[in-house]
Amino acid sequence: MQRRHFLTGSLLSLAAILFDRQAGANPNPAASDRASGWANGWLTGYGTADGTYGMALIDQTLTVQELQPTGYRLHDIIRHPAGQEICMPARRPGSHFIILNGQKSPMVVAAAAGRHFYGHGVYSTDGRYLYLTENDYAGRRGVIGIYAVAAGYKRLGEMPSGGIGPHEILLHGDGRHLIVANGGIATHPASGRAKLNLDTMVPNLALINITSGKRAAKTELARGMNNLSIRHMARTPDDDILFGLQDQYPGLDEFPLVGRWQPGSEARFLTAPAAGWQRLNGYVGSLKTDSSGSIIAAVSPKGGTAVFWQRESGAAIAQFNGPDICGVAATTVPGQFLITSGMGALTRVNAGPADIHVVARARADLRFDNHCLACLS
Amino acid sequence: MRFCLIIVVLLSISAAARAAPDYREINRALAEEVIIPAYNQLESATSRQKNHWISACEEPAADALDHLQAAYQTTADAWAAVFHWTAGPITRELRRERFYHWPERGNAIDRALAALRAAANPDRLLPPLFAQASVAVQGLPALERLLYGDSDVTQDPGACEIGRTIAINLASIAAEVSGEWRGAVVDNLRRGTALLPYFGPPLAALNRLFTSILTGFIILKDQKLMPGLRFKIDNANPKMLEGWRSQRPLRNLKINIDTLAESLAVLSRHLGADHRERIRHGMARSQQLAAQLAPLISGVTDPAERRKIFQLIDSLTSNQNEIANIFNQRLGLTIGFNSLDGD
Repeated sequence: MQRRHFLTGSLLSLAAILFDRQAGANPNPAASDRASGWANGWLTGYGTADGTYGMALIDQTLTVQELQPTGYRLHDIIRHPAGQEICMPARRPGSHFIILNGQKSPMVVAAAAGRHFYGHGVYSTDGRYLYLTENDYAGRRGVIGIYAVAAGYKRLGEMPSGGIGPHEILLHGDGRHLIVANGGIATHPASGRAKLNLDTMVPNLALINITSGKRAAKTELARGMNNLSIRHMARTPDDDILFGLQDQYPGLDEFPLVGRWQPGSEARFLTAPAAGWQRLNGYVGSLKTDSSGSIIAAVSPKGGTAVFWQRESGAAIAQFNGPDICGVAATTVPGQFLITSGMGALTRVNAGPADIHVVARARADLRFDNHCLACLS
Repeated sequence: MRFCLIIVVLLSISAAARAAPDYREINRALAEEVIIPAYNQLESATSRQKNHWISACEEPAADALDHLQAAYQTTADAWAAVFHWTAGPITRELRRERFYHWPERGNAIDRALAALRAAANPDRLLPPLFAQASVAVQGLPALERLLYGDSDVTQDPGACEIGRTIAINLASIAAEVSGEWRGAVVDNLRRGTALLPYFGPPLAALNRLFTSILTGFIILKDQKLMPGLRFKIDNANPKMLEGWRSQRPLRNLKINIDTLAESLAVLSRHLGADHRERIRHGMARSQQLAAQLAPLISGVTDPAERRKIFQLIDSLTSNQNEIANIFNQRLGLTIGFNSLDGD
């Protein structure tokens, strides 16, 4: 069996969702037929009212197609550089990921013993390797799992993430380094999603050399800000790393929640939105730049708001409000974003220095998850 | 064709049998029968506590500390019965955080109390200025720190003045919240009209209240139990438990579970008998497990007690999942997919 279709134990139920009963049959023709659509829309995880989960395609008209049931709640979706394949890792503390390829059967891969996923990952520039953030929960340390794509996503090994609770991971522009947001929070599958070290957490951003596995640079937040878990990031073409924070003790102080970092320098924060950082209610759930890289969007589902900044000046320029909004992705239009919500709302907004306006709205009978992946090329 | 017709008829019957719930009535019942009485209780407890502090600081009697501690325990009981409401007037102007800043980070309460005592501004304890102070120093946990410290707070005029200010602040917040609930909030819930920013139309309002109830289960597990319990017994830390100074961890827990059960009993009236019984049985099981626990402060480091606490956590998780599922299926209620359960 070349492909790792794990059809035993706990994976049976996942497999039943993914595969047709007839051996060799394409398990989900819809996914294959629509694969070409990946190049012209957005992919996102979703939940339904009856508690099922899957991955959906949102097309340019904001029409939603449920492409693939998954059997577990997704978080981010990662696209292979060649475009035809995507990886869908389970969110914390999930222990599976699914590879979906328009031309092949889905593949389910289990986490290594003693590891679970965080719902984020990235492919290498050449597409040969997949890197996923993982928890070595017995060792209470973050690791980056390394998977060989051509070998059916065989796990080759791992390297330290440079901290505890690694969450989002990006590829640096040089293709030789990974950037990891180590949220700093220790969890253990035996205690569900409980946070076990809030009093001692030390989040950081780490630059990891892919070849050596060594940490090339790191930044921590200023003393007294360790309660701010670094979770999500976006990277501009000139390797400005933007990051969003989640305050584990919201209300104690008004902390900045969005910043930027260039490896080798200290992290800096963007200016507060007009209503103050408290408008984000201590939580950034998703962060992206527009297609030009000049506008930054940070979305807070707890605050029910999205804030937009001009990257060059660092000035907050606009705000868009909506209940349970979280997913955000660029469109092909500079300054324009798609924003999704847990209540099924889809909104395209133009955010500029002069104003913000809604370009299109739609609604689906789905709950859209934290992240939204633009597949626009 | 005949088969299809039968299915259509059956589906129609099923749909008719599940007519849209009267969300307005559910909101009214929750507000009038559970929320308002609980906030009324908090208002009267904080008012009595305020009076005790005023007396104690003016003329400290020998048993003043006993009275203050008793008033604190009554107020903490009343708070434990509203701990989970994260919707409505308690959300305005950081009232919830000001009333009960917990869990704390990096000994923030002690640091804030020390800063307050050291501050030169004589007006710092006037209500308008105090309301702007750090949330860490404004609420019940700061009062606990004063009452259950090494020395008698009533014998220290400076500390007593701070305690009195906190007690006045708590009474003020409780009166504001309670008054708003009894007035505009319940009026709008009865009429089924939105009262922004607290509540939208009836279904949206009920979703917010329902989310609060489910959040209560998460608070119990993730904030009140696991940080003190930890996965390994070697890492257990009783000082991470809520209210350990005033010996309240288990007492809080029991009241919290009771108040969740009370809210769910009102919500469950709108379910069928089988679902109602499943929820009642599940909550009774959690209440029973909590009743069998030894004090948590010693229990988190005792292997046998830890097993019982983990059993309770499992029971709470099972209830939380079943409640989310049943109310979603039967009443169409949803939790905040990202705002409550994002990552």
